Amino acid sequence: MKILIAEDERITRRSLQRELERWDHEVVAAEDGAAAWDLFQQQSFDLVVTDWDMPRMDGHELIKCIRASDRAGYAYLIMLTGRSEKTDLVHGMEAGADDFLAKPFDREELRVRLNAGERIINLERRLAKQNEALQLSNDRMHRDLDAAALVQQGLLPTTLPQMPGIQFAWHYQPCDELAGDLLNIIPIDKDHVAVYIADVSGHGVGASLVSVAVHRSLSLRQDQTSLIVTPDENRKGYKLARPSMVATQLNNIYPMESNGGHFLTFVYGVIDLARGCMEFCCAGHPGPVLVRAGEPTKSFEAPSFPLGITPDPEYEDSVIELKPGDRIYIYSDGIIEAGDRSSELFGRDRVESTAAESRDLPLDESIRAIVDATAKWQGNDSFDDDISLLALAIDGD
Amino acid sequence: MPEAFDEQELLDRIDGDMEFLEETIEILEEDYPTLFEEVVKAAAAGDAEALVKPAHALKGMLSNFCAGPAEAAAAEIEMKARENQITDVDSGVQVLARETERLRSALRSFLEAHQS
Repeated sequence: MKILIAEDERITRRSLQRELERWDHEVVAAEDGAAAWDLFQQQSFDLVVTDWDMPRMDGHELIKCIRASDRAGYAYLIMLTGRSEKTDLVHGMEAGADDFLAKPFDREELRVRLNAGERIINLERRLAKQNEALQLSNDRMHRDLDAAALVQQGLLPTTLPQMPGIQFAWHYQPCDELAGDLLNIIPIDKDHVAVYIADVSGHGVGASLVSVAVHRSLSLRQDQTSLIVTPDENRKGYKLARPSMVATQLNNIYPMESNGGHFLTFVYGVIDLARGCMEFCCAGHPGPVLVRAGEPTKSFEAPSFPLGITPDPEYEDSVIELKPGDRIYIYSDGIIEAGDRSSELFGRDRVESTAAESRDLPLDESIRAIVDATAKWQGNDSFDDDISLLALAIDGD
Repeated sequence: MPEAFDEQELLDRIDGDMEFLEETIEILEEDYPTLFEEVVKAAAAGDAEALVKPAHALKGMLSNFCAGPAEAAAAEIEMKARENQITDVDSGVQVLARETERLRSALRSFLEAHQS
């Protein structure tokens, strides 16, 4: 070890230096605290042995300076004290000394205290190395997560469908780098648009991988077919899968036991602009909210199993007849399960009332109003769960 | 009268290294007079605060030689100075002077005996 001695009394200083050098330590001796502090700032020491009463800078001040310094690595500090100087000892240990040695020092006592110091220093070095490795690993993991988050965000709608008579808006806010939530708006043909929100249980990498897989299952392939669009019998055209069939197929593809224990809630709807309706199906997910002029705002709830939990669940299709000026909101449970200080949840009723109150705002601003109201309810905008909201508005008369 | 220093304890402390003992005695010869002079001056001036440091330094220095009586004399002066009770410190200073002289003489004899 490289050891610094701070001792103004020459014989003690010389005796210490002699003993330490005999044990093959590299020793630098200073005649007082100020000289020791200068040396400490210029060189790197593993251990410091310091007297208490010294001119210019005493041991207490030296220990405080060393502990306040930002040098790398830990310096083990041993304080030299008279056998009767208990107060100095207490002050020294409080200032940051690790151990003490009574004067005149006993050689064996010095040796065992140095050994104790060396053990601490070695432990500290190992810990610093492990922390460094941990930091590198953590940095790498964050880079990977950030890259994965970019991929996941790339799955969100980049442009909104431009279709006559209907507008769309959405909001997506993961609570971590990666989300278990997923939403999409899929224009199928001039009369049909599919919308969905899926919420994979849990967070992090596992949930996000399932959400990416679900996204792929629901995306249109090059031949315009997928779970949501299948070729018709004579293969000359295609037909839209009923929402309940989409849910059933997803349930078959993603059983939770094959997906790391992740299940998912799902709401899926197909808007038929020619017929003026939205057919939808919920799988354990909050139902759509309909905001209609002159009528109470209401939610369409249909209790059902989330996807992946049971082999043969029954999913039902429901239909909302759309009228001019109607707005429909679908959302993930991160909105309604946001709790205030007393853990009271934001709840479905507040989603409905906020959606109703913001009916005259542009669609994207009404979505923002719901997110803001939820954040205000819980007291901050850092959510414990992913937040997904998707809305559509039928143009008025 | 107790021995000026504990020979066996000193030999153990320096691990029988007479060369090192000679070096430390030289330091004692160099540093003691100055520190003792500071003690005398502070005692004569009745300055308890100024008395603490040299008495403390002498106590530490003398302890290296396992010099019980001289160390005890320095310790008593330091204690009285810290407690600001130095009205009768002169006798203590005389004891310190006497015991340190006895120690220095004994150390020289001890060194000569072991070097010859």
